[in-house]
Amino acid sequence: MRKEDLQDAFQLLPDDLVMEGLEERPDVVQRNRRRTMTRWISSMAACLVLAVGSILFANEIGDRSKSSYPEKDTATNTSMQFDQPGKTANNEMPTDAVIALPSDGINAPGDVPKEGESPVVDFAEEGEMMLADFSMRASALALSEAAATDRNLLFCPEGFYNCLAMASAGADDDFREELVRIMGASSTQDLVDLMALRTGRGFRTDDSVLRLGTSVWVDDSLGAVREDYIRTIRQWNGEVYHGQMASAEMRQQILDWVARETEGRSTFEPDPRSLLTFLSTVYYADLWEEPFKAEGIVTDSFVRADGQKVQTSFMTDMVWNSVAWEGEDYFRTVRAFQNGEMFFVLPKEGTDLTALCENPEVLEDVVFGGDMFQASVRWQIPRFIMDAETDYTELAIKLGMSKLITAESSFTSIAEGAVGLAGDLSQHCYLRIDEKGVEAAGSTRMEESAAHTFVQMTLTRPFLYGILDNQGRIIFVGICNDPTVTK
Amino acid sequence: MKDAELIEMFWQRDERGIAELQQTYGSQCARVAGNILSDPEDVRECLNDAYLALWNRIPPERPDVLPAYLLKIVRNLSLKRYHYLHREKRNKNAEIPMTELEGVLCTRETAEDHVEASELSACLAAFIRGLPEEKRQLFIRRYWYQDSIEAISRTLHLSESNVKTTLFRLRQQLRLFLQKEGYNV
Repeated sequence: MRKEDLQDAFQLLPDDLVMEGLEERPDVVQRNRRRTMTRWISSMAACLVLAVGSILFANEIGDRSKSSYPEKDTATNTSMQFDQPGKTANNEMPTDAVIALPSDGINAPGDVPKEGESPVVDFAEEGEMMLADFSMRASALALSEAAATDRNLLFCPEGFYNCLAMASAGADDDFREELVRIMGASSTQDLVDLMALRTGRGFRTDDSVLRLGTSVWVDDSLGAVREDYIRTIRQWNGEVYHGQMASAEMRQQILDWVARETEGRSTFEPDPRSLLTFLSTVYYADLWEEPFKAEGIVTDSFVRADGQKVQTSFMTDMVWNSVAWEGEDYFRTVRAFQNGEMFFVLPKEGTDLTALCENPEVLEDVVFGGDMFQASVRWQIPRFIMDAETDYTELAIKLGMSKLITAESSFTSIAEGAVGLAGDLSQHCYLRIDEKGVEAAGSTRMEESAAHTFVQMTLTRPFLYGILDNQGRIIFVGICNDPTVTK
Repeated sequence: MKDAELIEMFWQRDERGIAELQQTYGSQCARVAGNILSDPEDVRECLNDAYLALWNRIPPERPDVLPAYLLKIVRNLSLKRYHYLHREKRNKNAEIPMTELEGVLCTRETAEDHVEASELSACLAAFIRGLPEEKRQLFIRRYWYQDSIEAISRTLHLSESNVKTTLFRLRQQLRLFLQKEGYNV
């Protein structure tokens, strides 16, 4: 199509459409006034906390249930402190394995937003769109699957995106192109620029903290890490380590790094076969603007998706003059933190959660759309903890990463020997919500190991079979020439 | 003054009609021209040309929607002036919003890609009509009126970031829509 054609076509648009641009729409303006205030917060919530709940998690999960919110010392009015239950005694990175870059990804004190300011730095617009689109696509896939199987799920699309961005910066040709395309970018440089801008989003105030971390871990057998890649990762304050990936020491270093970045809230078992691991973390903690009062804590029934009732603890109170949104199948409302907000979506009676996240467009409407109305909200929120690890390899393939599990993913831009690797993607997420506020952490990892060999066992022609006992003795042996006959 | 009365004054060749027209729709015309042309002198000249063009067209024409008719003339003249200045590199720093849409849709510009403007316009109209009200407003304000992101953000009470995000998605949607309709974009 030529530019002139497009211009001519616009010139011929019908009068009624042209007139729409002249009209003042007070209803749209009113709706947007409120939305403008809450949108960035919802974006953060969408990035951090996307929980589908149909089976209520137990309220207490061992030691990890201990609150790690900033506890305000009202007597002395000092800043909040964060305890770190998962932090190891020796949390410092051993220097022999470190190539570069200690960084906490947190703004300097002078960069902490002032009261009333959004702590989120407005990063490159195109990048924001890329991330928003990806978040919706990935979240819809993850949530719809969990909803369909009545599972709880907590997904961190932002961590997922950062992990892929790191991988794309070091991936070779085809795989890089695949990653760049999936992430909605036009080049790796777009992603590098975006990551560089976004690492500045971390903040810490007296009441809340947002922390983003990225690191790459390279096995010595792949060869020296290329300086170019280190420079690229440095652009967003990422960290690069190398050593013997299979060693207990290196695996502990990985765990220590994750513990440091997530205040000890996220942990997992590193794959000893991994030769190249990309790690990204997101940590967020905030206090309710209006904490729930102790007298508002009640025990009530929660009806699970399978119809079973379970007794659990709820936080209750009433908020006057709030706002809510109504869509065809849902109600949505928000509750403010000191520096953020959390949204909750309740499907209308008879609507399955699956219907609210079946595709990115629907999910976007559920998270950002609906008709706004003034309302007083009677809150009853369960106190709960999520602490789970999920394998997202299949989700990544559904997103279009066809080369992830094949031997086609090479990273020679990182190290010469990083060829023919096969990877998997996992995420560990933690969320605690109670009367004080919320704490959420996620660590996403892409672990690349020597390529698997695939054997296609499609038994669609005559085959031999047998059964061995626990000593390896053959107790049955047979031939199947026709599975439809019994004799 | 009502549109019918203005048109009647033009039909009667009453020159006070131009002053009335200016008073009624001058600010909207200046908005369209000003969004495309950065120099106030160019804007002023363009508006004068537009009023003259309208004077020459009415009669014999009797537009159904006078402001839309007038604004189309203003937009057309402004774009012509813009392209003249742009081609001569007299105003090379100016980028109008239309350019970002062209960037998405006009990647392979060949003579074979020539399409009927009226057909394409009908297609565009169908796309726009299919959008939710808010997005429709946003799209028209940006790509027909060439409003700046900041102006749209202020008028619709959306964050600039939100406006850009929505426009980005609308451009992608339009691209897909046109591809489905058989256009080579």
